[in-house]
Amino acid sequence: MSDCGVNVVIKGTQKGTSTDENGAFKIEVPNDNSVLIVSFIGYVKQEILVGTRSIINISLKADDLALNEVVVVGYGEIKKTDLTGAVASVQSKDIVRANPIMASKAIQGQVAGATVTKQNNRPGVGYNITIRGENTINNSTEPLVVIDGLMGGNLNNLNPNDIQSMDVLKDASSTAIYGSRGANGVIIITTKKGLSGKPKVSYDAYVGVKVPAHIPKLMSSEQFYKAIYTDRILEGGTGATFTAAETANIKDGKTTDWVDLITDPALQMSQNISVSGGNEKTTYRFSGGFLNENGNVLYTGFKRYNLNAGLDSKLGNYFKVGFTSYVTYSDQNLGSQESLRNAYRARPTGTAYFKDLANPSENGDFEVDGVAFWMGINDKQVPNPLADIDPKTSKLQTTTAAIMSNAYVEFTPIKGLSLRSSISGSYSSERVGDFRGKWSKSQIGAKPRAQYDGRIAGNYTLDNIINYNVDLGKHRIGVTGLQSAFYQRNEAYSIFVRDLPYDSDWYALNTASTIGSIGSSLVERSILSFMGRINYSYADKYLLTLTGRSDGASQLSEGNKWAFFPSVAFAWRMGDEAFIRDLNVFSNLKLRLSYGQVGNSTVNPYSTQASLLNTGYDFDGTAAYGFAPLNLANKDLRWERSKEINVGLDFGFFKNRIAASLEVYNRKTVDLILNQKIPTITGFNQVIANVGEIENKGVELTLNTVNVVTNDFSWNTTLTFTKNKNKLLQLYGDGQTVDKGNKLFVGYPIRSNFDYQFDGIWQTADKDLATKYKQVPGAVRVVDQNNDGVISSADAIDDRVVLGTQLPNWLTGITNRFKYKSIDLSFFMYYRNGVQYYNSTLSGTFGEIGGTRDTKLAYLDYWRSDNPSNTYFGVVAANPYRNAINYQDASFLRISDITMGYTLPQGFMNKAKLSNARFYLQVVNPFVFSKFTGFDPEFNSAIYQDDVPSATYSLGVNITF
Amino acid sequence: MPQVAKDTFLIEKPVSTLTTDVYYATEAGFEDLVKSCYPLLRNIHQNRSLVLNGTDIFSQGGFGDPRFGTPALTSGPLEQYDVRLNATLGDFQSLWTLLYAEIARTNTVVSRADKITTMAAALKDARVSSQIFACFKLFLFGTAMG
Repeated sequence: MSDCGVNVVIKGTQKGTSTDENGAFKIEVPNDNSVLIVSFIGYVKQEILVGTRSIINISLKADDLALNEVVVVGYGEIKKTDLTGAVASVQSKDIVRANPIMASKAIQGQVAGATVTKQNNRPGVGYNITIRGENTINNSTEPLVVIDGLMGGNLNNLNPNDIQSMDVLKDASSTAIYGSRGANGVIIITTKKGLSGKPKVSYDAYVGVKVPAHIPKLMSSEQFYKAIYTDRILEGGTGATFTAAETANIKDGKTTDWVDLITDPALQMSQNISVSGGNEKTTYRFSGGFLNENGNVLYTGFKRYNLNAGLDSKLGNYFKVGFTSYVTYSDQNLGSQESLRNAYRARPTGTAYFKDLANPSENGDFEVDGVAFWMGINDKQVPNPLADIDPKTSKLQTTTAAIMSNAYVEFTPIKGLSLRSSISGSYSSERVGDFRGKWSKSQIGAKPRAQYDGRIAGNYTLDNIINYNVDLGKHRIGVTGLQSAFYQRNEAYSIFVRDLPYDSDWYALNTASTIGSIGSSLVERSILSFMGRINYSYADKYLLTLTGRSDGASQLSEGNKWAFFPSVAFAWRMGDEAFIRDLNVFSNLKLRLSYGQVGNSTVNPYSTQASLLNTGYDFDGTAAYGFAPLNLANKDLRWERSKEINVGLDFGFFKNRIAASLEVYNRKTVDLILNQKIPTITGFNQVIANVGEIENKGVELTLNTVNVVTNDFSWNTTLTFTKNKNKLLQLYGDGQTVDKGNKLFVGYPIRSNFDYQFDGIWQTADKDLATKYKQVPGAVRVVDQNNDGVISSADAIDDRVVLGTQLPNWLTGITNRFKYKSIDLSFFMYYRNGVQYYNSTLSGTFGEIGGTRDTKLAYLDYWRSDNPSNTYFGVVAANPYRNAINYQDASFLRISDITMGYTLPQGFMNKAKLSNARFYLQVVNPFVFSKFTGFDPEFNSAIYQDDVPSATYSLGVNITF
Repeated sequence: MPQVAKDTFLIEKPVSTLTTDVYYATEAGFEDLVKSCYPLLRNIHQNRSLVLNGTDIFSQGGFGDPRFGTPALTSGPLEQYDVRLNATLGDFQSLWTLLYAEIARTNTVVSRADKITTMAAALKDARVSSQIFACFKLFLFGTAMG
């Protein structure tokens, strides 16, 4: 076979060439001892001694590495070429490339089919993950996380540096092996293990600074004065009042930037060291990590410490044993819960420090540790943000200690047969302390309060797995059997006290004179399972996978405890058929087809039992407390069940320089658990029952391309595309199609926005029409959908409509990696289309242009008689339909990170006995493009209890020796 | 597999939550169930437009009466006895919902009674019959009013 563009370089020099269209090349070599390095993507790199030859024929050998790539599929792994279901993987290098704090971030845009959304900007906060859309209404859509065999692990406790791979099982045929827990998808985490060889030490670290960025601009003193005084008078309202201190600030053009006062650039740091190695019999890996993510809001931060140890050893010829132990301790300090909101509300005309206040008695102001508590403003709603942020005053600290461990023994009596028993356990203890001192916003001069909460979660998974593989020439059969038991217990306690005599955080609750509340609880659940899987392949071209899992669960009632989840998948490696191969178009072509059923284990513990309601009565002056049934128990409750068809196509062109996977799926989820209305003749109004149905349909594409590859330069791209369409098919099983109260509409996606439709601002010219609608110029105008001359929410004449959904339409993530000699550059872009949020930045005080109390966004183009804006309402007009203006498209494009690295020259590394040494510069979140007028379009920040958006600049190092 | 399901591993034993199946099986729980039947009577009587109507205090008097020349606009269907007096009327809905809830509670007393073995028979009979009687009163009352 002749190949064009194959690289040929003389070893030890920069001299090289590449083959022409006939696959031929010509190169002058200095001497007979010269060695040619021949390389081409998808083929094994070869070194050839030239000797005395003048013509050399070289044949390239396909690199089996790509073909031998394995995918973890749950209770085993499989060669990627043998895969029949829809599974996406992210490997270590792509997990750590952008230095995510949480491993879940690495899935965002890198796994087609997964929607990963930041919860908020505070340090140490995780992400929400949904896979293939939301298939439940009132229950969790979080996928099952399996960490080294441990079911229900917590991704946030892991150090991304310790993860070898994250394999995301997407279709029901793949997740069916997790039965009743598979419906939200499964993320299987495999942590790094040692490899035999001399000890390898890796040190990875970075240090950086996180700076506030992308913060919406707030009003200056002058703008604020104009909006709440000049413009209000212009529109016939009354102007707001100001204290002399404020007036002086306005006159002097002084604006207090409260957000700036309570935020600072923050240190980011991560240090990781690992040692791994071993011999033929025993391999090991130890690692330790420390992460420090400070928040931009002062006195906030997250620290995480990890210690990880793993050992695998072969005992004789038949036995293999191993263990891993993972210990995490984290300390999240969120400080003040109010200061950021205060800063977002405080007037720009305020004065921060008491010494700058000429006449504090005017507004009854006073000093607390140097700050002017009421900021020289005559309002007792918003205290100075600098008072609440004082770490003596506000503390909100969560410490988590978590241990995950796994141990196994594997017995291989004969070739192809293995018996494995493993036990995985996890224990985590989380403590939340919340202290609010005398001058916090919640107390304002009252004695301190404190809350002390604890959550202890423990679980274990016991798996017995039998594996048998037999190779009979054309037939290959693999059988896996599993017996498993899972047990989980969650304990919680909570103590809340008021009137603490002195600042004691939450460490002297006994001194409090008032106990607000005390509570504790225990929740236990258990699952017993049996699973079987058969993989059959014929001639390596036709592949069949059959699986079935039976789960028995404690939550379900006697008689309904067990549920069975089957799946079947078929794959055809068309690319290996002669008639396709002869086309010389595809370097890989595989068709996959699957069907499966899985459960969403959403029945809460004890919910099939009726609970009790405490009642009170009086028997002739004696208290007669009783317990009545609170609800009707539904003993027939069962899992919400998803049924899914998946069609997948893997294809590659040009020797897999273009390689792609396309998935199309249709998932119907039935038996959704909802509150069903029942006839009152039963004595109750509703009962929880399996009644609803949802459909999720979608397309996913993963595309890997090698765009350019020469001796010195390479450029490759990974693109993922996710589209999911969600539709509610049935509500309560009684033909009801509209539930306005819960915003659920058959035929529309769940999480729809239902309200009046924004139609601009009433203008002076339309005054007569406005009067007909009982509106005034400057007010928000909404569409009169039925044209009856009335805006109404009454049933028959409702003008509210479904405006959009909070679920994304489609997503894409693109990673570009460039390499030029020893310099590498990579960047990641993420685009989300079609989420509509009820913008909480606009709907809050920032958007209340008519309010005189709080500051506002600076760029609102609000209506005035002299500014007939059609985008934002006026300062005085009554606004019954103001809400309509808040629904905004939150599509956004984010340049998530740009990373540039330099690897030290080989010669230098050899001298220093290093096997790798790389330094890099990285910027995280440099650019966000969106029309959404909020803080971060990714999530609809509640503003209260968040941090400001930021960009991070860091310098990092990777050293291995 | 059903034989495995019998294994205690899958049996729920609520500790922090009290459930009917656990609590009503005890004598104290049964007593508390009986006690819980009384408070609803109070709620039922609070539906005064139906329950107390006809007395001087709870009628609208002359102002809603069609025999007078100036029927007040506010006079309700209970006074007028017109087409508005039908099953969709809120007063009926609320009263009947409470009546059914009370019947369900008293029925629970009757149905749970058999499983209570530790209680003195006479006492148990007294508890059960008091509920049957209360329920019967409610029934008569409901049919009379509704």
